[in-house]
Amino acid sequence: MPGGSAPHDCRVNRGSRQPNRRTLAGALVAALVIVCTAALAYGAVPIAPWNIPGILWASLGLPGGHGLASDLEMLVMRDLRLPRLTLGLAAGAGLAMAGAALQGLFRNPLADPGLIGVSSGGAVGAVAAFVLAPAVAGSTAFFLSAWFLPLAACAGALLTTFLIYRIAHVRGVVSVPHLLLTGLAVNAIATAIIGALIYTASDDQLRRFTFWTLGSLHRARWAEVLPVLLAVGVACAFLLRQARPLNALLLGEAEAFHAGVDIRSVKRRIILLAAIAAGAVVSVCGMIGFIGLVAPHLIRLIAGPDHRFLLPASAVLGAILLVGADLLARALLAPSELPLGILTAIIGGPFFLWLIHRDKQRFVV
Amino acid sequence: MISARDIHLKRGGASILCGLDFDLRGGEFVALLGPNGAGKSSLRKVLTGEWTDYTGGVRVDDVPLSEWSPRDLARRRAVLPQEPRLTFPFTVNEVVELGRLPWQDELRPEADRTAVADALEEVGLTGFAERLYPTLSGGEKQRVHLARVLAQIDPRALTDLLRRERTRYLFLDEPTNNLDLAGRHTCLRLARRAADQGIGVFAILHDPNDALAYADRVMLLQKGALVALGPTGEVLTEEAVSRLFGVALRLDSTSDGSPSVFRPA
Repeated sequence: MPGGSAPHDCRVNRGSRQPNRRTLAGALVAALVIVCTAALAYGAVPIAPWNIPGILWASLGLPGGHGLASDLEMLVMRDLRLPRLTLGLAAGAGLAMAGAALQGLFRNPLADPGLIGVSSGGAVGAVAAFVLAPAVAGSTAFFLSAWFLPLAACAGALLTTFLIYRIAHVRGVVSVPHLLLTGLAVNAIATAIIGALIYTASDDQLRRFTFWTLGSLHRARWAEVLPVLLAVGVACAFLLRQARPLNALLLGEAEAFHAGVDIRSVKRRIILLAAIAAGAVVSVCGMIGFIGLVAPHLIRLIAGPDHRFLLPASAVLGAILLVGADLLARALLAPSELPLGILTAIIGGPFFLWLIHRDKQRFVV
Repeated sequence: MISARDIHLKRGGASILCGLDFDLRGGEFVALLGPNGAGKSSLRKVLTGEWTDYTGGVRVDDVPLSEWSPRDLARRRAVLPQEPRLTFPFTVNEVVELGRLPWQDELRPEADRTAVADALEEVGLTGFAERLYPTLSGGEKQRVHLARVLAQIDPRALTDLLRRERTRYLFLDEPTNNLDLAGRHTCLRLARRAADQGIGVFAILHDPNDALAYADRVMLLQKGALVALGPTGEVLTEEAVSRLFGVALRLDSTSDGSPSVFRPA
């Protein structure tokens, strides 16, 4: 084409993103290994990092494991550290990938499951199940089972995501002010409902609530971790398959349709999967904010918005951030622990403010 | 062939399109002209399946539009949007790759890669593959999207046999918006070339001179109704175009074979 190539030759070609992505992937894996090792090693019963493989081997009951670890080490590893680490990894990955997918769906990098009210919806679902169900059914056994809470939380998250999507859509475009204001309102309503439910709760329930609304991994027992792991794993696996449709959605919904995306079913799938991931995490860990905002944002900054890389990389970074934050939460006030949600908010809140400040133009209506 | 029969469209009580019949065949360049608010974009949205709340029938290759899956439809008709709203920092290559989405099930990555590279070459953006889309000028962005839609209907992932029997269509909604003179003519020349390669091209244009220079047939639309549809030379007369736009125009013919030109009278 003869037109218009010469005047731009002075601009710097930024080069391919491929090397960037490869370096980043390597760094993420390395960081993941380090943070996992630290999480397994640190605690009231210290475990030397080089003993971890042996103890893992022994506590999984694998052949030749005898003599590699003491009973105490095995107990700590099997019943405390490992489930807590697993929950942290699943929660971080689930929140980050749900955040990345929702940001793609809303075509907006501020759609954090916590900020826009998805997590609150999940929390209301879980709290309602926790408080009301026993009263209705007369028996707490089934309703407090490890599977029922996540289900109720997912239902709550799903309902709110759908509501937010309907309200924030203005003439075919997701409006940022509507999105954030809807989140504000949903969060306020959720806080009120949770407050009302807590008011009627027993002392025992109350204690569990307080820690839970602040967000924490301290409820990590295998019976509760496994449903979350399963839900997050399934949701993430299916979300990964939506990477290319999500890329096309960034062009706009009409353009994505013209590019062959079945808009309605893709939107439904993403909302469902993100709500499952966020809801399952909330049901056990409570409200842990900002992971879904910070992780995808940092990845986008370095490697660009292509969801084929963004989704898996965000999941890994989210896992690293959450396990790292939990490590801090355990270490700062040892032997007692700081609620994790407070820590992520202290770190994530200023990050959010910086984002708003940096992108001021985008927020002018 | 894309054929539309008796298309009526109402929006908010107002009649936007009333009783349109239209056929688009492979290998022809049809230009749609009309004043602002005539319903040009509405017709384009009906023909491409973006809007479905019309009455009447649209068929693509003898199959009703509503029975096409988005993927199969996207494999043979592409749409260049009026104003692309992409703000995320994709590279040029990644944007053009989005066009290959309907072909991902074929699992022919090297076909996708060459389709993307060829489309970039065709619009003259070969060296731009790794540039960030938001840093481009308006004209360059438009060419990136043109490359994207060309890559989208590139059937090279299919066998030769399937490739030959399939008609492809390209819809351009005011493709020359925001383009400088060179950009405008390269864009229209590419559309013309696509038609010469057998693609049915439907373009909404503002300037009757562009239609004179590039289109085989012209459709005139006013207040949602068809004013004229036929070969370019027969439809674009001084009288018809002057009345359509409400401006007095004079058609200057040239003797050396170059296209005639409308000028203000």
